Amino acid sequence: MTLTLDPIGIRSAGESALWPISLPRDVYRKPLNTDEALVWGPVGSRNVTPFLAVETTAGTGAERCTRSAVIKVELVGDPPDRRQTALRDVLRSKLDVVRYLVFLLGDPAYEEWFGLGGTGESDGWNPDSALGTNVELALFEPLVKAVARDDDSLERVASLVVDLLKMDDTDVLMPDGFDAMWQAVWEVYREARR
Amino acid sequence: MSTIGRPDVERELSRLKDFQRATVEHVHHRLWLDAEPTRRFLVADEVGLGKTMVARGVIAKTIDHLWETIDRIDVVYICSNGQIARQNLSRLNIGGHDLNHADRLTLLPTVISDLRGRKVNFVSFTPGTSFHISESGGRATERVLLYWMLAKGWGRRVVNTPAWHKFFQGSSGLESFSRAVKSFDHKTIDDETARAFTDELAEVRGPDGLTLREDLEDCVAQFRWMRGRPNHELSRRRYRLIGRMRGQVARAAVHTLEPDLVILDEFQRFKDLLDPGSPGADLAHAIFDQPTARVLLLSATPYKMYTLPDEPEGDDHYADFVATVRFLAGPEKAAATARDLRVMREAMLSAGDGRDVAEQARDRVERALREVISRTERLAASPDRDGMLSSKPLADMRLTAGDVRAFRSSHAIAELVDRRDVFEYWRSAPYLFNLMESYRVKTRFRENLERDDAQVTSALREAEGLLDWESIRHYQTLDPGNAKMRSLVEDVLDRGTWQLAWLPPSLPYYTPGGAYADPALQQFTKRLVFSAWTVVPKAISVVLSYEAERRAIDAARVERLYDARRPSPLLRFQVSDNRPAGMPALGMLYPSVALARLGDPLTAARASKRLPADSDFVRDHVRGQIEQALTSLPDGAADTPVDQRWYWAAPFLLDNEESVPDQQRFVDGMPRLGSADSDDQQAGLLEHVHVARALDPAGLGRRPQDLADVLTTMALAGPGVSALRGLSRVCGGSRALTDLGIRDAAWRIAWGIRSLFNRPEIMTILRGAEETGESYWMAALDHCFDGNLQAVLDEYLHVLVESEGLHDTHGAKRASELADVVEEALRLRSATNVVDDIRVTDGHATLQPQRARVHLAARFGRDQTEDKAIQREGHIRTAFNSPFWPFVLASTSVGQEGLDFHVYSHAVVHWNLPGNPVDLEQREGRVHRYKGHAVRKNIARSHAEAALHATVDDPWYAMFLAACDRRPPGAIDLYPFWVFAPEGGAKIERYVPTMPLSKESQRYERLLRTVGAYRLVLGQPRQEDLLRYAGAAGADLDWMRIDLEPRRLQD
Repeated sequence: MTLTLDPIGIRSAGESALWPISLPRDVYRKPLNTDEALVWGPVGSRNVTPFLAVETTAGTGAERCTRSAVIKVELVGDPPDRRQTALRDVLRSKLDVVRYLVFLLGDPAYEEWFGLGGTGESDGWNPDSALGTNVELALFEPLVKAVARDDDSLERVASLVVDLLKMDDTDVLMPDGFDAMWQAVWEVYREARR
Repeated sequence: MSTIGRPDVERELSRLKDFQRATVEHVHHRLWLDAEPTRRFLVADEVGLGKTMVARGVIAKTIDHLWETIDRIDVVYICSNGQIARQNLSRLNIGGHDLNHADRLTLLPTVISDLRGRKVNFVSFTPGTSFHISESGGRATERVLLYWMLAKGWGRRVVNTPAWHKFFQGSSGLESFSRAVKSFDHKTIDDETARAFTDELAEVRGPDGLTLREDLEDCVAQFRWMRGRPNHELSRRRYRLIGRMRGQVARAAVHTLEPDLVILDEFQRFKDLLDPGSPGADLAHAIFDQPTARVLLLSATPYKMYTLPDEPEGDDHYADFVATVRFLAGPEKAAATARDLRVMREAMLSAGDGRDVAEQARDRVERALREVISRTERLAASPDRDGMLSSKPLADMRLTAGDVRAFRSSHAIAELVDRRDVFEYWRSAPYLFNLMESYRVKTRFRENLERDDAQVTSALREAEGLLDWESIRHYQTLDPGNAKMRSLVEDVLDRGTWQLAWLPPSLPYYTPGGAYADPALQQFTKRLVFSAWTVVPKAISVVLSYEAERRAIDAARVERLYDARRPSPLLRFQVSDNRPAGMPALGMLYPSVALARLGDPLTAARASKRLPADSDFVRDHVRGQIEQALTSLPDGAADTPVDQRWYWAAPFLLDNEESVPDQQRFVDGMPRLGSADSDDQQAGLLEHVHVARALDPAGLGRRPQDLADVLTTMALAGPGVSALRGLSRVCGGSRALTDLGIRDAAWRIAWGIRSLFNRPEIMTILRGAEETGESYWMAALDHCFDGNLQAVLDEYLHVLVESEGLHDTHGAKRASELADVVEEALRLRSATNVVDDIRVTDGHATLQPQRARVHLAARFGRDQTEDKAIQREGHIRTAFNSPFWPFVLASTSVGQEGLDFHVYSHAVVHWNLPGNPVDLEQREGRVHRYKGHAVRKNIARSHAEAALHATVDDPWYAMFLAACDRRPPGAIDLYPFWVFAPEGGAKIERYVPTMPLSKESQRYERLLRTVGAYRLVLGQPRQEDLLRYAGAAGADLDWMRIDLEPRRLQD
């Protein structure tokens, strides 16, 4: 199947490029052109995700710099069980879920492990290779700080939680102690958004 | 400072445990007797094994060794702070003379003339104030001393002018400074020292280029015509000169010392002094390096380790250790040790390659270190090599939406006032802006409010998670406000500790009643909490104390406002309408010899042949005895109304009937001893005692029906009776019951228990408990019975005899000193802490200081500059080391080294994790010590039988003796006094309240690995920590063990 990004009609401040976060950057990186759709494919169904990596380079000379981020776009026409399958495919343990949550929270401290720090060495999100078992990941601090920042990364976490809860082996995947912590954070986040 | 006679070495050493004694002998050999002795030696026994006792032994042996050859023996004791000095000086007190902490080197000249005249001098000071002499004015006493040194050297006439007074007054008022000058006893300064000092002033260069004397006179001249205070520049110049003179005095003081033995206690706290370089170190080395001096270092954690073992530069872990070895053994041996350690480490990491070479390296390290270091560890003595430690979750760590809201608000406010991340504060303490004191963000916050900053005011209006003082006033539930606090509240208060006036005894004599019957409470041990943040101890003590009080109020269904006037004491000796109103209370507190004999619960338990005995059995047994005894008293006229006087009269009458010796003298002395409170009370008490003495038994009316029953409770658990029996068990047995001095001491303890029951918090608890409408004195008496007061006091007094160093005192003197401590513990009153009530009204925000009481939980480790504060902290320590309140002590890092907190606590809460293994070891070492609470619980559990059949007076002595008798072959005295861990028994509890999935919980894992690495170089890590550190290879690392245990004495 192919992935198509409709023309977005926004002019980039510098030169921007995009690639599905599930695919290696160096192969799938495409410059952003506001007038044309971007097409990737064929890609396997497990690589279909609503997440795109964006890398923008702007400025000149010493001022020139590159920044990366992950954005979530609306996914249309994906296979009905795609999310579940994809998730089930990559999230096989509590540790996988922790890593994924950290990734979704986008805490700057962890960026380089996800190949977003501009080193270009990583080939995208991959639960097995991106982080060795030695790397320690924390959720508590980034979750709480995200509330104070009023950061919509929490929306991404929320949708993952919804997906996780739909699975029949939620207990196997939900990191211990996460659910209670999440309830508190999500409640306050929603209050603040109201 | 004082003189001491030639010590009785054998007696000194006989008091030590076997491994301590072996250490003393080893150290003494190495310092004085060996063919190739060392001048410096480190005793690195694991935390809590009694290094002070070892030091005492070494001092005794050194003095004895030098006695015939040296005219004047100087022992210098250096420790890191005044609290430690206060605690340890009495334990180093050989020969029973007073030892005074000289505090500062700069004050030494006042006692130099004493030094010269004595055979043995004991000088002690703290390095922080002694070696690091800043260019500042020091304390007023130091300036007075300087003034008089000049006056002596140059003649009083020279300096007796206003200019000199103004120069030296510093920040003191001129009048008070002049008064201090006048009242100073200048004869204490010896002429020679003063002249040497002034001579030197004429020679050394001052800061302004001339001689110090010329600089000084020039500066003083500017004070002559000055009005008011000097300007900044002049003031700085003055302080620079004073600082210089203080340095001069310190140097002179050092030269008057002729140290033979220098003891550096917990020297890791002032390790910078060991490396020559800084001015402080030069001064210190002037002491260490005197040709006659031997230096004994004491520290369980003699080096720092910051890097964590899984980092690539791990080779440097031991750099600081090597520096310590350099100080002890010199650079060459240090370098060789460093090399060998590297070889060992490489072999360990390569899972066994080069093992032979590594083992040789280990042998060399061990040999080299044994020359200058010894270490005994308790791990070896604990069956599963866990050192009796268990890590436990405090309670569920729960984050609530309220917590998150509080963070949002605090974050928003902090961003506005200081652009500061308050996450770590929020993680540690609730109600930040109400409770913080001198934090920068709080200061800025305050400034913003004073400026009426509209943004801050508006943020405050919306803010959540602030403390609502109105709800406090109305005793409404206080949300702990923070996950850590919630788990502590749950752990301590939800189990009901707030209903207890004291901790349940380790060995109850009969089944406990009331709240004490709850098994969850019987397991409880006091909590010692450590945090790096100063706001934490305050937050813990305020939140826990308030909630404890609120729960009691709630249970008692009392209608009262928090800030209403506190209720008056209920055990009072008031006289109203010429009638003494507190006679029953007097009877209940009175240490009756007859009741002490009739109602010993331990004797009753023995009759039942089990411990704890059934409480009904005990009561029936004692009631029988009481009824029998009552037959010797008049019946009371049967046709008259019930005469309530019987309750208090009977104990006195029974004593009269028994012709207790010195009874009249004792009773006459009662008002004098019970005069702790006010004159009013004193007069009232006098009147009460008079009535008791003048009672005519023939005039008593009908006996109350429950008389025998009430007397039974009094006999089993009355404060005076229990105190008397408790003292008798450690002060001479049953004969001691009638000893006047011992009864005096018992009465003082009873009086202390009276003030405990007069605390408003405790009065509220008891009101909740009694719903039967009985009078307060009866409720208090019932509480004593339910809580096994006798067993509580017996256990406490047993421990105090040793911890207070009372082995050498006996009988009434010992009883009196014990009573001093118990009184101090009981006298601790609740303190108040300022809480800022934040209010927003009419677009205007204010901070209103309010006072919150702290009692169930106390804070420790504030900046101790004032004598009063030091004294208060001392009281808190005494109270925490007693079975009475506070049950929780929250300390900053100040409390984590050198002090004992183990007597009633075997639980450490690491509120914030320490940054390195030294602090972790030190913190836990506070509660894992000689005959600590966990050990006593386990001893009681395993050897209650020995108390039941004891032929000695003290049941605790009997139980420990039984445990010693059953010591496994080959074990040293660590068993049972430090490590005694039967299956399922109490352990040292380590609590680390961290959120799941947090950076903090990961840091904890890393810290444990580091601890494994840390201990490896000195001995043996815990098995678990070693596995964490070395992975699977850790299972087979026994070959790496460096054994520094001194060889045991051959019999």
